[in-house]
Formats: sequence, C-alpha cells, structure tokens
Amino acid sequence: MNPSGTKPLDLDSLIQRVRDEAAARKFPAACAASAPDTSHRNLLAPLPPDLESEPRPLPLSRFLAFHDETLVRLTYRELLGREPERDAAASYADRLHAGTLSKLDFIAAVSHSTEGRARAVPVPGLDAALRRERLFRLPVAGPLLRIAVLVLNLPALEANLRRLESSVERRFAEVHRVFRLELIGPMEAKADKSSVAELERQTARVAFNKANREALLELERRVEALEAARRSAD
Amino acid sequence: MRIAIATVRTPFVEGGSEAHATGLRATLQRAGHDADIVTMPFRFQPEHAVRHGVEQWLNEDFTCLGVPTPDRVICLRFPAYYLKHPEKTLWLLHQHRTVYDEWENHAPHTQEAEQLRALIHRLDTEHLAAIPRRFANSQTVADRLQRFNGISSTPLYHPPPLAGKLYTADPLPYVFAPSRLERHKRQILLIEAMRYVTAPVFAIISGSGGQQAVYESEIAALGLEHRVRLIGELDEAGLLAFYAHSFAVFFGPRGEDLGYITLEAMLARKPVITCHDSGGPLEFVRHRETGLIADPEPRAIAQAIDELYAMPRHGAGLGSNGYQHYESMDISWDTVAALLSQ
Repeated sequence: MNPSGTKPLDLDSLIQRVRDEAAARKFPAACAASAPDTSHRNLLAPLPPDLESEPRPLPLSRFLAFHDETLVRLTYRELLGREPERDAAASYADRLHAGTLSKLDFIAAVSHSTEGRARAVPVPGLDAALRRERLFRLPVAGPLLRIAVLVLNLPALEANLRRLESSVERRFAEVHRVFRLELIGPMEAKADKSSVAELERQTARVAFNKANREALLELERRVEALEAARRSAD
Repeated sequence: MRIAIATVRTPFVEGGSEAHATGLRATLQRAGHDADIVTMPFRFQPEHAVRHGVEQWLNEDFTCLGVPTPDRVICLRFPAYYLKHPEKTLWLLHQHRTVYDEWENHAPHTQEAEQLRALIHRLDTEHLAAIPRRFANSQTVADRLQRFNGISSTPLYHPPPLAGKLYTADPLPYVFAPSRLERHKRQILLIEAMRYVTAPVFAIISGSGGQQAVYESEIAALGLEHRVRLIGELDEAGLLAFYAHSFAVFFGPRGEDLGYITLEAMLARKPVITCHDSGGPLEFVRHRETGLIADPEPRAIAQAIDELYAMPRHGAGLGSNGYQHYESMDISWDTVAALLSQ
C-alpha cells in the first residue's frame, strides 16, 4: 500500500500527494460531465519534426507557441516523458480550446503534479510567468498592472497578429490547393456512383472545420454537378 | 408540469438535504418539467423557533403562490409538508427527529418541549397520512414513519452527488471519513479508534462543522497528530481523489437517514466501515460482503481497520462487491423523476 517502497509515507506527504493528484485531475473532472464525445479525435497530434533537435529544456515561450491537442501532447512528453491518457488529453484540449483553461495554468498543473515534480524537468520562464500572473490577479492593482503591460507590449502584439494572419492565409491556401489538385481533379475524371460517394465522404470529413468552409462549398457544388452528370448518363 | 419542491434550509449550510433538493430540481427540469425549489429558513432549536416554523408552514398555501401556480408540490422536509396544496407528493428526507427517535437523547425535557412533541406527533400523523403518494428517502426513514406514526411509505433511493464522477485508484494507507463534523456523525469514534489501530495507517477526516474544535483538541489530547488529520472542506476534485486513494471509508453516524458517504464509497470501490446503529448505511453495507459493521466503540472500529489492512485483497474485494451491489440496485434520477411526477 506504499508504492514508494523504501520510505514509509508520513501523514503530511500522504495528504499532499493526494491533493496534488486532485489538482492535476481538477480540470478534466470539472468538465467531464459536459465534455463532448472526443473519442474520434486524433489525440496524438503531430509535433513539428524539428522540435526534437531544439536544445533542452524548452523555454515556456516554446510551449506557448502550440495549441490544444498539440500543446497537451508536447507538455506531457516534455515534462512527464510519456503520452497523455486519452480522456485527460481530450478534456485538457477542450478546455484550452474553449479558453476556460489558460495555457500557463495547464503547463503549471502538469509541471507541479506529483509526477511532474518527481521528474523535475525545468521550464525556463514558467515561475516568472506564474509570479506575474499572481500579480495580475491582485485586487485593484492587478487589472491596472495588466493594462500597463498590455500597452507596453502593443507593438509586439501587433507584429504577432500580422504573423498569425499570414500563417492562417498560407495554411488555407495549402488546404485549397490540396483539394483542387489531389481530390477534385481525379474525381472529375471519373464521374460515377463510387466517386460521388467518395466525394460525399470527403465532404462530411471536412464539414467540421470552419477554416475549410470555402472548400466545402466547392465540394458540394461538385457533388451536385457529378450527380447531375450521372443522372443524365443513366 | 409545473412542480414546486418544498423544503426548509439552514442558511449557509450545504449538506445532503441541499444536494438532494437541487438534484431533484435538475432531474425534473431535464425531464421537461418547470421545477423550482421553494424554501424558508428553519431553526431546529429552541422549541419556540420550531413552533414558529410549524405555524409558518401550516399557513403556507401553495395554491396562492402567485402566478404561476404549481400543478404539483413535492415535500421533502419537516415542517414543509404541512403546506396547503391539493396535489402533494411526499418524498420524506426526515421528520423532526428530536421528538422521535432522538427524544431520549435530549432528556430531561421541559414542559414546552413535551407540548411541542405532542403537537408535532399529532400534526405529522394527520398531515402525512393525508398525502396520497408517499415516498421516503430510505428504508430507515420509511421504517421510522411507520413505527412512530403508523404511516406507510415507499423507499425511493437516488444517486449521491458525486455519482458518475467517482473513480478508484491504488490504495494508500489511510482511512477516509468525509462528512460534516457534527456530534451525530461520530467522527470521534474513528479518532479514538486510532489509539488502538496497530496497522501503520492514518485517518483523514474532511469536512467542517460544530465539532471541529472538539475533535482538534481530542486529537491533541490523545497525541494522535501524526496519525489523524482534519483537512477541512474539500472541493469536488479533492473529495474524488481522497475517496479514490483510501483503503477504506469510515462512516459510522448514529441513526443516519440515508448517508451519501456509503454510496459514494461504493462507487469508488472502497470497503465501508460502519456501525450497528448507523441506520441508512446498513441498508447497503453487508458485513464482510461490502464492508465491515462494527460496534459503535473505538476498539471495535480499530479491529475493523486492522482487519482490512491485514488483508488488502479482501478489502479490495469488499470494495468491488460494493460497487456491484450499487449497480444492481438500479438507482437513478430518471426513476425518481418518473415516480414523483406521476
């Protein structure tokens, strides 16, 4: 009953251990009741291949550059040395995506968990960011301080926004190119029942992605055209 | 259907009764009803305050609540069930136990207390018998109503607040006792039992209440600070984790009506240590099947703890049996909603 094996647990460390687990589980537990079914989601979100060659330990800013599932997977791999459990990863990712859990709080929760503390992987910048966040949460002075920091950071924020806009445009153009060249082209060359069904499946697959809305509309138009062509051929 | 849930409450106290009412409201709303809780503050002492509460509810006419008027009223607690409405359903959490099974515990009695007791017995018998659909929170509550007032009712169980969220994990060497720190919850039995426990285990007691100072001084007086800890109120994640890692749950109140702790321990697959006179928990705990039932005295509790520690696989088996027993009872809010809105 004492997994540490060598040294018996004292009451204080036993209580702290359970409290740590509660803290680490807090966010998934809190949203479990209302969480959507995420069993279909690709939880092993790909990490950039060049990340492996970057110097360790990764600084906080490197973690903050990632989002949702990718951030969850990266944080677990870096700080715990393992992949996340599916349910925990889905819950964290949902809350990160919804904005109800900040990236900083998530990284701190993993880093400060029992498992994280046991591995003690440093995250340069994390402690300073947490101290800053605590200051921001002070009554009265906190919000004023936050505004002051925001004003000072406005030029950097503007540059980030431009980079984000450019990145989104580039990704959308790539998605559009793939659909046109690799999917729609071959389908048009072979307008039969199976190709219509395949195109419908592809349509359903991308329907959830708002960024692909334009591609979706084009696919739907193609489906209608192909069906019309098939009807006239019949 | 528009359904009012009538109950009383002690301001700023959140216990099983409050969870019960809010759980019922949520269930009825999910079932498509327009449900709300209608409550008033109530003081269980002194006698004149109880009498005042009785008179308030006797004069309360739920057909004149204003617009909209409820089609049905579900009454939960004394003295809310005295209210006037033609379509009342009783789902009794408890009567005023001070004048029933706990009467002797409060002796000697004043004349005012004697009169109040006679009044409540008469009113309960008259008003509860007049409610055609009668359910009780547990068999214990139903038995009490039958015994003292000669009125039958059907036990209707409902899931504890943490149902669906509890999980289990590898046990750590502690007995967990979550509950309000009140005299009748008898955490003192566990504290004193730790003097006699030979196994290298701890006792962790969560919750707050009127006995906190008493328990703290008792722990200090017995020199048990290194083995017993009051950890205060836990949030939901904390409760789940402390249940999950315990190797047993102690819940040995005196004459509990139902007791969510037992059901929650079962859902966390933990064996429950309870007492022969604990009431509600005895409806679920079977000795050496889903937990251990001991005499309500420290040495017997200590013996039960030592027994579970000495045979961890046996304890895990009891916890697993408890979980299966809960599942077999088909306890659900959907059943509650269907029965109470009929």
